[in-house]
Amino acid sequence: MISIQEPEDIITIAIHNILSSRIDDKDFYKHVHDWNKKVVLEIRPFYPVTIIFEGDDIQFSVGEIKDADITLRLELQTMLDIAYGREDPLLATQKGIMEMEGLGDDSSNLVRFYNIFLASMQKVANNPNLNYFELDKKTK
Amino acid sequence: MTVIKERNIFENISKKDVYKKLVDIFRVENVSDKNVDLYPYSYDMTECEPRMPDFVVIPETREQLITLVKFCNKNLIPIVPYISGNNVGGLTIPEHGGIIVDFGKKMNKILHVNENMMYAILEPGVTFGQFKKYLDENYPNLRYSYPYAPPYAGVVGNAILSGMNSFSCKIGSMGDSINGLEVITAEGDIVRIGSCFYGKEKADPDSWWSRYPMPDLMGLFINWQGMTGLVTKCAVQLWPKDPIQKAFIAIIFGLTDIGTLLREVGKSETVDDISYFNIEAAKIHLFIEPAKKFPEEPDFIAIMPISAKTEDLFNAKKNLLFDIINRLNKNGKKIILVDFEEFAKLASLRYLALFDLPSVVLATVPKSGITWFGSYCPTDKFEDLIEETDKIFRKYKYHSPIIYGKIMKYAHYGIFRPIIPYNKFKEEEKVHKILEEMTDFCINLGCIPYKTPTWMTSKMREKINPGWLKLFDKIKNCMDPNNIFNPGRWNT
Repeated sequence: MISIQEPEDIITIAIHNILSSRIDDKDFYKHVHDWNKKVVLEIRPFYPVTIIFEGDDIQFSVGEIKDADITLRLELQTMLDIAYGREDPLLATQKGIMEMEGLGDDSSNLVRFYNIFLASMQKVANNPNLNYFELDKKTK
Repeated sequence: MTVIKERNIFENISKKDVYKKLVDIFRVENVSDKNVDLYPYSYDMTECEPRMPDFVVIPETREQLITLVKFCNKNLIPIVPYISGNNVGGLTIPEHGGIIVDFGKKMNKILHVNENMMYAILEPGVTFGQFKKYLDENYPNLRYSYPYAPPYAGVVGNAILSGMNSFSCKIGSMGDSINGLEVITAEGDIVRIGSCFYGKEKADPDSWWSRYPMPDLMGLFINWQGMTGLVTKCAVQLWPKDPIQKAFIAIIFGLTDIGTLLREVGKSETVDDISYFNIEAAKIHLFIEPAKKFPEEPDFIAIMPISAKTEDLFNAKKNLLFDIINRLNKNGKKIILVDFEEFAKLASLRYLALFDLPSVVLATVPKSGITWFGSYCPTDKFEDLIEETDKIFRKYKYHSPIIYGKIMKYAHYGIFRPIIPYNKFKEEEKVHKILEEMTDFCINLGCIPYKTPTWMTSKMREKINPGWLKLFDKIKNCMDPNNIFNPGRWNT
């Protein structure tokens, strides 16, 4: 069972929202389980946050830690464009509007990163449910 | 707090005889003098001192109320109008006891909608949720505008107390959207105000289309908190529901930079409304408490809906809005502007409740208490107001500091509203200190509180022009010589 730390700031609120939408998803579990990476996410012009994957736990820390494994930097509008399918993540990297470091040549890392972050983001964006009053308290 | 002089309301008639008369008028099932029934009417969400009424009645007809008013005027018994008890200002706490007239239960009909001239005639008990549902189902091309209030709050109360709404940037105060009123005066006369004044006995329901150009007697009843008569009907303006409606969210870094945004966007005539919240409020809304602000975080968010009849018009308005934000950013501000729904889906769907009005701020419900300094403010004072109230909240290390407001009528004036959700009976003393400090500061800067508790009006009285006060007291005495209508409000 994946456990995600409760958020305290506006960025981790969003990350929590995105990741927790898949908390009961077996595929998501497979990617998160024992990934054991520290990922820095900077949504500009906000501030960087570090997301720590350890065993089945996902923890947040406001700020950028020095020994991060992976770093992702992008504008909020670029993030929305990717989530809502207006921008391709690969092209965004090539265009330099999404900067990624630390993924290296390890394809399993890339797959995990894509599945945990980008696929989750797109899944939340594509969910037609806007009924905030029917939210599942357990996951939201 | 203001000390209210106790008044013996049963000098002229015994309580038992009053009860008998009330049963005669309203029938026994619509009258109560039992504590268990009266208790809910004795307090509200605020820290205002509770006070038990002597009776509660549930009216069904205007004729019952005429008889009641005549009886009370003769016997000097206070009448306090009540809809759903959701005001934040102790407005229906019966400061001198007397009779609560609960309009919410049975005088809650939507009497007429004139689709062509875009207005609705309502009884006082109609709620926002009821009205929205009715319009959506029966008049999908029309809309009303809704405040940041629960669906079970009253439409007429909000209008006659000049509440705000989700169309405020265009139309300003709700008080300006009233076309007509029907009121029972102290003598028991029925007065119809506005274009509905034609007709000796009754008005044509299609005649409630304007409040002008006759002498505007509406001012004798708007913002008087029920002190001059009993409103029994109110015609409110409706608006075309444009086919294109989309909201944007501005995220603002810098504590006071929201002030510039409000004025610049407000004047641009692009948006229907701008509601601003401090970042702590956005977190409280998501049940994140204590709502601590990290230094790196933005300070405010502002939600700005745009509506348009065509794509071209929408795009023109949207482009103008983006141009303004870009210009502000070039001038050193740090503001992000994105599609609100897209942002809310990723960040938290619960944010949608800030826009999908009327709605309940669920996170404040478990606290049981809420109070505010709700005020109209000069728009050039936003910065000072925000800075000082933020300081006061921090001085008291308050766990749920909310700063909320709006720009009104294309930036002619603003709304500034620090809100304090609190635990009733546990935090009242501290909350009152915070509120009092804020009140002193804000009134000195020219803010005018609305839906005002009596302790606040007594502070205002110290600063108000004596000529105004003399005229105000004269009008109150003239309209209600026996002081039966919600006595005690505005320290009367």
